Amino acid sequence: MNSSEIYDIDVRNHHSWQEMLKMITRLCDDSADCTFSCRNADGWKIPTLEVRLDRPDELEEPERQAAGKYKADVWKNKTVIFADDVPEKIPDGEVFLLRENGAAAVTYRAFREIIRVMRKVKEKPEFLWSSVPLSPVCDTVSVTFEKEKKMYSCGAVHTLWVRGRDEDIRGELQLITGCGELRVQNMATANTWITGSTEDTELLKVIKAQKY
Amino acid sequence: MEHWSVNEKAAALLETEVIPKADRLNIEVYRLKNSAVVLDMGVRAKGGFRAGKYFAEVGMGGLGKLTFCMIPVSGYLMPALQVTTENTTVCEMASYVAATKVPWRGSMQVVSGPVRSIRATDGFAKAVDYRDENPAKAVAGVQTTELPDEELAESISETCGISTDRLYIMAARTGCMVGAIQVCARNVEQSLPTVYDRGFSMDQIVEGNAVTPLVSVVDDEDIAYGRVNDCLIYGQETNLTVRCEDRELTDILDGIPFSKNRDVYGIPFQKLFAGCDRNWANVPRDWDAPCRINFFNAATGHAFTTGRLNEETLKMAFLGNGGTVHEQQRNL
Repeated sequence: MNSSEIYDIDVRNHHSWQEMLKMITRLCDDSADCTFSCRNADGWKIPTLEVRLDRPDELEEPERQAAGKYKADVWKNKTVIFADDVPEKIPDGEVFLLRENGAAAVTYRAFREIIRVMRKVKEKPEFLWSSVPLSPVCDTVSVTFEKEKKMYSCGAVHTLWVRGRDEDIRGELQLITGCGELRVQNMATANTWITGSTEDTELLKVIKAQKY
Repeated sequence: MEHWSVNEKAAALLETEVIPKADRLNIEVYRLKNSAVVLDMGVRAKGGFRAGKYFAEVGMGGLGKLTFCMIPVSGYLMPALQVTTENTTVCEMASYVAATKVPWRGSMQVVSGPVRSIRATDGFAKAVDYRDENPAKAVAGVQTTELPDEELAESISETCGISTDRLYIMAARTGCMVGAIQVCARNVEQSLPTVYDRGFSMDQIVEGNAVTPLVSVVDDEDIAYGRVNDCLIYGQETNLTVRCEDRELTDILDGIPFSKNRDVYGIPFQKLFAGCDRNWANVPRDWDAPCRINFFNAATGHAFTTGRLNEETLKMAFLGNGGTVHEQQRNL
């Protein structure tokens, strides 16, 4: 017997924005506070995904799978399937259906980026707060992907709260680049270490599709 | 007019939103021998963002909302929180203000929350007419490094006038996520007593909201205590809508903000507090002052502001001895 619980976000439905916040919260087993906000870059209000995690250490990057015309991200007991129609075969557990090139998928990938960056830091994260700018959707999905990647690297701000040795954290951060501004607050020593920064000019170039 | 109870609103929030989700909120709930229920939201429990939000919203008797946001401070997009209030003076003066003192373990423990509104034993609760007489349940909040016990429950019970079997106690130390959030949420809470102390009637307050940066969460209680207070005296900005003569505002503006303390302005609160032997009894009343208040007079349409943010002190509190590991130009 199939025990799937299917949440069709924007394949047949049109629930791209608010349902995504619920979906991300579900992916975090309810230990998250998620909102949309905006980043003010030279007068442009760029939408952002804001995620605060109370149990970030429970989250690992999903396993990517592909079957036929479908791509899927497999999380613990949950699956995100990118599709333009509802697949005939659905895996067990909670399943979320998204179009690959909609606002929902842009939001989802911003969340996945948060987990990717978080996992670069070796210390166990106690809490996380990330703000990630959301790319405009382009009809050519590869352009959307390219914009997303560049917007993450010049616009994302991630703050992790950990406990560890300052020397270790500092050393790790020196090796991490290209993920926007990554801050690690060491709760044990009361010091904050930062790598990278946000670049509003670059962010605007990406939004406006200027040469970057 | 039908009576509404801040304590019952707060207890309902605990019973429907908090206690059933205790595990995912990283909090512990236990019942004492005298039947009071304790919520450890950050004494030994880890807590988190959502537990901190609930601590504040329950502490405001269900009349306030806390949302998270980011604000630019000294070149950084800083985590921050925003508080919006309904029935502002009841929400804050009768409920969230930490002002009722009860004996516990040989000293006095400060209690906040709607339980204060039952008897209104402290001066700030007395400043509003609202009394929450004989609620079915009541809620207290305490900022402490020790887990509440039967003695504390009895003490709150006797002082505030509620039996222990109808009492919830929320507790968190300062050096944790919940501690940082619930103290930084004391923005409107800090502003109202300050204007009240200057003779401004609480009947003239129409509405209040505020934003405070949340610069740091650290384990060390002394450092944490200093930094959350830095957020309030150097970072919080309150908007108060009032209805009065403009002169009633202009007469008090200069005496309100922390920046009036020119001899100490800019010094981190941890250092100031250490100079007072870490005892609030030695702290000048003028040091418990908001960073900035904007007044909007509904009666005249005029706006007034007093105080200023100190970005450098907030930056020190944010970074500690840390900093950027690559030399880069910041462009915010």
